[in-house]
Amino acid sequence: MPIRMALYDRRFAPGRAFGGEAERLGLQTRPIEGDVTGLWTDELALQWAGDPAPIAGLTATNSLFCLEQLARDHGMRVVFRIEHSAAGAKGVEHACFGPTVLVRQASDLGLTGSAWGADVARLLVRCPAQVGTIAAALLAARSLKGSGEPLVSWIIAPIRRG
Amino acid sequence: MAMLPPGVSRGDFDKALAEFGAAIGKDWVFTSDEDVALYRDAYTPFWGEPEERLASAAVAPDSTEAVQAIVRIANKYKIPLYPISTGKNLGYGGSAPALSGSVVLDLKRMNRVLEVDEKNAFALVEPGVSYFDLYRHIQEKKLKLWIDCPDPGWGSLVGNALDRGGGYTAHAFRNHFDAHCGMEVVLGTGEVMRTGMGALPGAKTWQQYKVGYGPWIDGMFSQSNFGIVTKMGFWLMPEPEAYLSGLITVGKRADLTPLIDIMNELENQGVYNGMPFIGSPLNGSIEPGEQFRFPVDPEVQRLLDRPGDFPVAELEAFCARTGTGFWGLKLQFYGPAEVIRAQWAHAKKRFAAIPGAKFEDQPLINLPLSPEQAEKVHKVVFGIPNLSIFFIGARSETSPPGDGHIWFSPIIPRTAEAIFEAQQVFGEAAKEMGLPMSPLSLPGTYWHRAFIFIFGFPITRDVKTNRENREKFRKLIKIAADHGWGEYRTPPAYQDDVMAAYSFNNNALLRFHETVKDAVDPNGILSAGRYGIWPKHLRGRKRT
Repeated sequence: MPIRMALYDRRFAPGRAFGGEAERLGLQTRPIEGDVTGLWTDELALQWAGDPAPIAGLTATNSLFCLEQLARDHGMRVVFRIEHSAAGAKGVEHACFGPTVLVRQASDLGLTGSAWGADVARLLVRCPAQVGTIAAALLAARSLKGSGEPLVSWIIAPIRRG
Repeated sequence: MAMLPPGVSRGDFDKALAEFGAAIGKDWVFTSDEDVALYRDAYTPFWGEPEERLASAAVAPDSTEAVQAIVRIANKYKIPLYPISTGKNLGYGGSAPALSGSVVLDLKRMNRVLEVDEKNAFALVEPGVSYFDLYRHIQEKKLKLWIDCPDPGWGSLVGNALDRGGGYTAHAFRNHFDAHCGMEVVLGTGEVMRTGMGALPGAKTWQQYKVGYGPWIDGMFSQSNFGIVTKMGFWLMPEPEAYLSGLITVGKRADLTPLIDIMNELENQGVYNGMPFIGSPLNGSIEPGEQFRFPVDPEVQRLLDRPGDFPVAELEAFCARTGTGFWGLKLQFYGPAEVIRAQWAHAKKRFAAIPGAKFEDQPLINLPLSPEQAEKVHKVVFGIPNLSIFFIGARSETSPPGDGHIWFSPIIPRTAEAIFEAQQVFGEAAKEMGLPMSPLSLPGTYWHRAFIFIFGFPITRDVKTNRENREKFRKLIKIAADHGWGEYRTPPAYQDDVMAAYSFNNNALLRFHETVKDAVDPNGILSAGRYGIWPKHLRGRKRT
């Protein structure tokens, strides 16, 4: 699935790692700091009105919530999601939901290294064009510190109609 | 496909869907689970329960004529329709129907700004036009007009006004329904009607004179299910020359009485025209949402947490020692610089009658704002739509990210006595039910003549907690009604409960609504159950 744009919340180290890797992979990137108003009014509202195209991101959950609601009006939805939550002394847990093939790849990657934000960027660009079957997996990275705020990686894409 | 509309056979539903597709194009009839799931209410209090209100399908027409065609087909097969504008009424409903199995009539494609008249300061828009859209249109055309928008700005002008939402600028525009002028409505029969001057063919004043001739009926299409509004006019504020605000603080709890009395008198006289923000500086800040940025002083928090009577003397002593106000009032002025400076000077003279009142002058802001200024201000006060409300408390321990909220929002009199009574009544109820509520909570001042004692009710993904919270919400509705307070607006889950509270003379008002409903929508296909008004064939059923 060709991702048109990658968003990252630059307040958080995993977001910055995600953005850096996405840029290295040749994607257009946009930094945000929580609020998506400017991104919406200046870019996405205009783009999606004419040509709804997939975007990916690593952001705070509230940012995704807003984008998910706005995407609905353009026949788009979240097709892949990894919720990265602090698990106390255990570190970070990554809960993945989406296409089986992508969840399997996330499990293979483990997302246990300190640069897991960059791993996620490499993972999301591999999202298949057809979502197919859905799977879930919970990955624990016990040695890593959380961001202090729940983060989420995601892909928003048009709904495929038969 | 998720479900069938109640009382409709599979065969009839399939025929209706096929006819919808023939009328508006197959691409705009949504029946897959994936598509229909987009219409779930993100803040439903029934998340994951069988009672969650879900759509059976959705259709998205792009014109009044297409809406008429859909309504006629729905009548033929008795398909319940649930019109939405942009479906962003989160906290009071969202895009899910009040009756499960309804077909959502999504008006998002009717998103044309039909007219903006700069000289006479009005706009005529379709239901799919969001505050963002109209703001962009005005900016692109460089018109010297302001919109009045709620938090957040992604909603529809039409939808928000019909739900009687409010905003933050001058009082003539804050009440979005009051600021409308003229409607086009598709009735339950499929017939189209225009209200006010719009009933006069070739009228030159549809958006300038509200009432037209004969009974004024626009109110019947707000918080109701009597028709589908397909066009609506709005009065806009001419861009003011300048903005000024000033803060008044008082040091004693009892000072709230003269503070509110003078505030009301000055607003009713038109001495200030902006929204008055009231609050307790002891809570951190009096600006809506700003409390999250300025946590409560630990000493004050300890006093507030202490069991027993409300520690008035200790808090007043804290205020006297630290110079903190017990209550604060921020007045806001829009207009020519010399006029609003004089208005603030007059207001200060009046509030100086309260012993110990202090004043804080804020710098005058010449308008329009520069882009840099616009980034720093409370945007909605300047008519700039945004989504920042979702991010205010995101990193705060006092407001952790959650799964949403719904609003409990009774109307109370615009007096300090009513505030004290509401604080006591709802404070005791909140304590008994284990709900968070500050004893220093003050009401919303959106409306000119009444307060809204508004507080958020958390939504979770935990079924047991949501069930308990639903019961608590219903208890609060009853407690409010017992004290003569009724909600101004509520999510579908509680619309029957609130309507039942408006029960004067054996529910005479509801019975009138039902009489009208039966007359204008004889098959009961429009928004069944919305605001507690059910069509004849669905009345009297027990609902959760």
